[in-house]
Formats: sequence, structure tokens, C-alpha cells
Amino acid sequence: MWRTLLNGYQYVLLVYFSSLNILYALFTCIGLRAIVVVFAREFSQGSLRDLLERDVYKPVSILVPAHNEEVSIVDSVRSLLALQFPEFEIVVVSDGSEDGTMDQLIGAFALAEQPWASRQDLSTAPVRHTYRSLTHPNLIVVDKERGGKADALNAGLDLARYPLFAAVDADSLLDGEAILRASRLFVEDETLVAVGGTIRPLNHTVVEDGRITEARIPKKWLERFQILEYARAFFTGRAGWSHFKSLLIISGAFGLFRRTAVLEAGGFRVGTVAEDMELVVRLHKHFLKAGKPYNIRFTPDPICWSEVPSDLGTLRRQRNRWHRGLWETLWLHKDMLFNPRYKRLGLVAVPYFWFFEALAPLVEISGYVLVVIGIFAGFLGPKFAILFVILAVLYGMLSSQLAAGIETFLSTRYPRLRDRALLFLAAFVEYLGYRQFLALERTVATVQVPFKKGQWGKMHRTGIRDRGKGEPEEARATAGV
Amino acid sequence: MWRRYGDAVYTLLTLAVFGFETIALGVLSLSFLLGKASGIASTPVEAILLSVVISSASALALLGLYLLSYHFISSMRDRHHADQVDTWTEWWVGLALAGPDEPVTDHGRRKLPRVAVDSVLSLLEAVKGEEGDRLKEALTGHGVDRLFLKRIHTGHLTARLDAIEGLGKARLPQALDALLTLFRHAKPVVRRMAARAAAGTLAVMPPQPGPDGPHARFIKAIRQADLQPGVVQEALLLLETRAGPILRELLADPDLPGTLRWVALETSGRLGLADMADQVAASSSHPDPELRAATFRALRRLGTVPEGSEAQLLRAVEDEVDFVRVQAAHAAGFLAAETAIPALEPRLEDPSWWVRRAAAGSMARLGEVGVAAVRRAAETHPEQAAREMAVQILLEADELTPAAARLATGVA
Repeated sequence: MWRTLLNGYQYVLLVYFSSLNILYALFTCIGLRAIVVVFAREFSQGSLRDLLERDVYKPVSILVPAHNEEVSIVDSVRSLLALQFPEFEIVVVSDGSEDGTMDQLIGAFALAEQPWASRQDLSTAPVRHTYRSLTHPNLIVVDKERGGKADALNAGLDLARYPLFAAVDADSLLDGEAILRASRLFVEDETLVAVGGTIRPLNHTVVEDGRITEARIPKKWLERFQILEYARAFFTGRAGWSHFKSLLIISGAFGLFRRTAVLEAGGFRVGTVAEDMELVVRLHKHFLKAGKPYNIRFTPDPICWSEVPSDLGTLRRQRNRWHRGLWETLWLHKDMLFNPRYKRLGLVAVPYFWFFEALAPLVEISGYVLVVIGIFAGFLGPKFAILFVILAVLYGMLSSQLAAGIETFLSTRYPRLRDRALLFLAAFVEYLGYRQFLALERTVATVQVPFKKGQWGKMHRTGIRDRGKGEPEEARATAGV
Repeated sequence: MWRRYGDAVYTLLTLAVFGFETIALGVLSLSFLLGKASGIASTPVEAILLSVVISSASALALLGLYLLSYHFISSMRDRHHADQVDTWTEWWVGLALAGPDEPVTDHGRRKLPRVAVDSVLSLLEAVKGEEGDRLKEALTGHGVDRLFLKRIHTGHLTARLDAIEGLGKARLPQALDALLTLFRHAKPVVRRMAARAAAGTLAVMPPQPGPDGPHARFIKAIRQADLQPGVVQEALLLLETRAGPILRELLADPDLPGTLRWVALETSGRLGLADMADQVAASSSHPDPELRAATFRALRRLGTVPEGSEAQLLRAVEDEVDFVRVQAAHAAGFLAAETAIPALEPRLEDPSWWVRRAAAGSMARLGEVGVAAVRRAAETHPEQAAREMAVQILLEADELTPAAARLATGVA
């Protein structure tokens, strides 16, 4: 009986493994085609400049939620103020910060308190004070009581004046043309309601005047693995889903939204740790229910550089939170699963996220356990088991390399051949514990979903101040998000 | 932003890996299932697994080799490219500045290298007039136009997009009709790029009125094209000084589809074609609120309200649709103060935040009388929302200090 069940499960695992790898490869093909053929050619620097000079853009409000971000907030705002875009405002929302976030902002940007006529489209935790910068009139700072990231974004939305808004994390740096490239898409597609850009790890890059001048491979393997993960997620996964008009995630670190569409859908949902994914799923649901034409897409060009965890503890908490967020969102919208009313979302994308994303760590861990049991119980030959594990590693390396390979076509790539070789090696080394560690953490997160609803956890931050070549990174503070 | 060479090979390589994975995993799953019948460790399944492992390792090695080689070669190429661009740019500048009797082609070369074409195309974005014409003549002499025109009809999307971009930069009149035919291409990206390239080309062509002239052909193509309004707007903006006659013709057409009329109104405003204010204002009573709003937005951008349109504008300030009221309130800032203020003051208590903001903003732009009216509203208006908005506008116009504003609104 047991043997029959285990044999059956083995087959399920193989089909699961096969389907997943084929999907990854398919998304890589689509992602590559979409990136190389379309974006690289349509939006050359010359054509962007041409259009900008002729006033073809939609102005943007940049919302920066911040909770205890004294380490990076000033550098982050400075880099945003230096963006190449003719008309934008920055709304920083300090969400009940208890550190020096507000003092840093007041000192650096000569903030003067003033009343503000808020539209109050969305209800939020009380706003304590509103400030405007005397040196940068397009900088507004809101100091409000703690309500969480989604609440902070809603408070920013209440003040945002422009038709588009960008949600940007305070520990991130945007490429100079990022807003321009993303906002261009709204000009040419009236049905577009949201655009997600590419996120790349900021760690160990060379930052000068708030701009990334050189990408460099970090020294820690932990950070190197994350380069591969981000490449896989953005250059292949999201590009593929976007192509099928089924993109469910726009990273909270950088996304551009049509303000009226988000307000129509009710703003950001408070009390979830995945306000970014939840909003995107809700936007899909809202427009599909209303029968209105809409589009949500990923575009590889606007690049946001975000600091990734450099220690195991922070990484563990981050991935735990991400996975709980995934479950929270899927559970909140469980009515979409296999629901033909939601078309390809309900029939393909949502089931994929249930079975190949949310349940993936459980399947992975059970696979490892099954291999061990199989060998000891004698129904799985050691040779077969070893070959299968090698195959899994090879396919994992292939998908990593295909995704990371797209990065070589970017002008801001890791410049040294040694870096490329290291990334190749990292695709192998990540199987020696890193992936299993994350799978285990995500499994733990799955169990914790009902008990840790809405809990974020402490994050260790380095900050994004200017870093010249060779200057060591220095841990400067511990900040909670 | 992106390197545009070696990508096609990489795409093929990716496709090959995808095809291989699909077949290999399919065969493996099938053989595993069949193997169940005769025992899990049956030799055929293991043999297939081993062959899949070996071929996967080979695919990975091939991919790795390609990536490392590409990285190495492209690094070298990047280093040399800048020097080559400088050399060629110098050569092209010399050619552009040479006398009219100098030959425009380098007879030593029949086919120009890609870097030479890229450098002259970049130069053509800045160089206009006679110098630009000489460069275009040189491009034609070397057959670059023919090459691009041939490529825009190839089946390969990458080559086609490159060719359209090249023609867009070169702005060669002989390419206009070929670009116009692409307005109805099946792929939206081709239509978008062709629209921009055609508009840029038409912008440098001398005006040729008449039903068969390039302007008329462009209008016909635009009307028949399946293009998003934003893309049409971009194209019309790229026409620069040539946009006026086209916009006039579009707005004069009573049967113009609503989306095109909206685009024409928006573009007239953005280009600041003040002499078109009368034609723009003609749509101020259009039954479609989007078009009424576009009309007043355009008038606001033109900075004028033509004679005879005041009454419609004042009616629109009280329009039943809020976004029309917003635009009308903005445009009312260009009326005489004595006409505008009585119409705008009641809007300070409009239910829409945007209308209140537009009304207060327009009043503040009406000079001393307007600022005084806003100040009065900030101090004595019975509605709190109106007072707050008035204070906000005074702050933004530097007519009030933050301290005074805090005092006015009672913020501690």
C-alpha cells in the first residue's frame, strides 16, 4: 500500500518537475523575444529624448513609504529628485517612524510644516503633519501614525496630484530614465493601468551622485544567488506572464500605476504583507468583473536597484514574509481559482501560483525526503536517485543561465568576465544548501500564514549613500519595515 | 540600454534549449510511467535518464560557452566601438561641411559598416539643413536607404524594427510611402514605430498641398490606421512646424472620429498653436464630455479664450461632468478677472477636490484682484474645504508663509 502510494507520488513529482522546467524555458523564450526584439528597439535613447522634448509624457507622483528608514531616506530622496523627468512630485510618507527619519528629512530638505488640502479618497491612520520642502517645491513629506506600508501608500495617494503614481521603496535607487520609460507606456496604451519594472540587486554596485555607475558582483555568495533569483523572476517569469496578459505581481520596490484605476479598485489593502501583489490581483479582478478593457504589464527597461539581504537572518525573514504574502493574496482571492469568469487569470495564472509557487516548497521538500526514503526502502535505485538529482541541478542551472544571460545584453551589466564566470558558478553552488534552505523557510512560512498575518519582521539595511569603487559597504543601522 | 548584436543567436539558443527540455522531459516522464509496469529501476528508464543528464550538461556547456564568449567579445567590441564612432563621426562631419562640389560618397567603400551608418544616423538627429541633406545624399549614394526599405518588408521582426528606426532617424522623403503602408501592419510595435518615423520624415519635407501631397497621404494613413490615440498624438507632435495644416484639416472635418478629434485638440494645445484657438473652441459644446474637456485643456495650454467662446466656457464651469468643470475652471483663468472671478468663486465649494483646486488656482493667476479673492476665501469662506483649498493655493503661489497658513487653518 505504502509502496504503491510512494510510487504514485514519485510520478506526480516527475510530472511536476517536468511541467515546471518546461514553463520556465517557455517563459525565457518569450521574455527574451519581448525584451530583445521589442523594447531594445522601440525605446532607444534617441526616440525617448525626441518624445520627451515634445512634451509626450504623463506627469508622475512618486510615493515613498518609509518606516524607520533613517539610513537611506535622504540618499533615496536625493536620487529621486535627480530623475530625468520633466514633471513629477515626490510624496514621502513616514509611517510612524520612531528613529530619525523625519529629522533627517527636515534637515536635508528644509521642510516647512504646512496644512494640506487632502482629497481623503482613502481612509488612513491619522496624519500628524504635512511638510513641503523650501528647496525642492516638488517634495512633500507626510508624517503619520503607524498603519503599515499599504496605509502609508494610501496616505500618499490621497495627496498625489498627477494621473500616474509610482510606488518606490525607500531603500531603492531608480535608473535616471526609469520613470520616463515606464510612463511612456501609458501614453501609447490608454487601457494600461499598471506597469512593473525590473528590480536588480543594489549590493556592491558603484553609486555616484545617487546614480548607479557600475554594477559589480557582490562578495557574498548569498547576494550572488539573489542576482540569479532576480534575473529568473524578472527577465523570464514576469516577462512571460506579461506576454500572456496575466501578470499577477508588480514588485513593491517599483511599479507605476494609473491613479484613478487604483482608487476605483479601493487603493492598497491594509493588513497584508503583500500589498503589491494583492493590488495587482485586485486590479485584474476589478476590471474583469466590470468588463472594462485594461492592461497590466511588465517592462524590462525601467530598472530599479534595490538592496537585497546580505545576511541569512534578514533573507529568511524576507522570504518568509514574501511567501506568507503570496498565500495571503491567493487565499483572499481564492474565488478566482479555476473560475472561468476570470478567463486566463482564473484558469491559468492563479492555478499556476497556487500549485507552482505557493505549494512549490512543500513539493520540493517532500521530493528530497522521498529520495532518501526511496533509497533506504529500496524502491529507488541509488544510481537513479543520483542521476535525477543531477538532472534537477542541471535544469536549475540552465534556467538560471538563460535568465542571467539576458543581463549580458544590458549596457549596465556586470562588466568583468570574472563576474560572468562567478554567476555561472553561483548557479551551481546555490544547489548546495541555499535553495533547500529557502524551500524550508517557505515551508515554515506556509505553516505560519494563519498565525503571523500582516507581520513584517525586522530588516537589516546598509543604506544607499554614494559608494565609490572599492569602498567597503558598511552596515549602518538596523531598520524595521 | 541594450546591446543589439548576438541577441538573435541567443534567442535561437534559448529556443533550442526549450525544445530540448520539452522533448527530453516528455520522453523521460513517459518512459518512467511505462517503466512502472516492469519495476522502477528498470534499465531502460535509467538509460534514458542518463542520456537526458548528458544532453542537459551539453546544453549547459554550450550555453555557458556562448555567454562567456559573448561577454568577452562584446567587452572588446564596446571598447573599440567608441573610437570607431568618433572616427566615422569626424568623417561625416567633414563631408557635411564640405563644399557642394565635393563627392558625397566614399568610393573606396560600396557598403558602409554598421558603425558608420549608426554614427551618421546619430548625427542626422542634430544636423539639419543643407548639411543634413548632404549626409542623406551620402546615405542614398551608399544604398543605405534601399537596404532599409528592403528590410522593412522582411519577415524578421528584429531587422524590420532596426530598419524602421534607421529610416526614422534618416528622415528620407523617399521612405515616406513605405512607412505609411506599415500603419496597418499586424504588429502594434511596427505600427507605432512606423508612425513615429513617418511623422519625423514628413516634418522635414517641404509642404506640398493638394489631395495627393504627402500631408494628405499622411492624414489618410492616420485615419485608416489602428493606432492608439497616444501614438497618434506622438506622431502629430513629431510633425513640429508641419503639424498646423494637418491639425486644421482634421479639426475642420465634421465627420472626424471622436478619438482623432480628441487627439487633434490635445496636440493643438501641446504645440501651442494659438492661431488655432477658434478652431479648437468650436468643440466646446460637443456632446462628448471627453471632447469638451479636451477643448478647454487645449485652450488652457494655448493661454487664450477666443472671442465668442466666453459664454460656452462659463457654462462649462458648471458642467454636470466634473472633469469638464476642472478643465473649464483652468481655462477660465484666461478670461478677464471681472468675468472669471464671479464664475470661479462658487466653484470653491464644488464637491470635487479637483474643481476646487482648479478654481482657486485660476483665481490666483488673475493678478492682484484674483489673489485678493482667494485670500478672502481663505479667511472667511463658510465652507472649510474651500478655505483649506484657498490656503493651499496661496501657499503654492508663495502668497502665504507656512506659519501664516498654520495660523489660518488652526494647525498646531
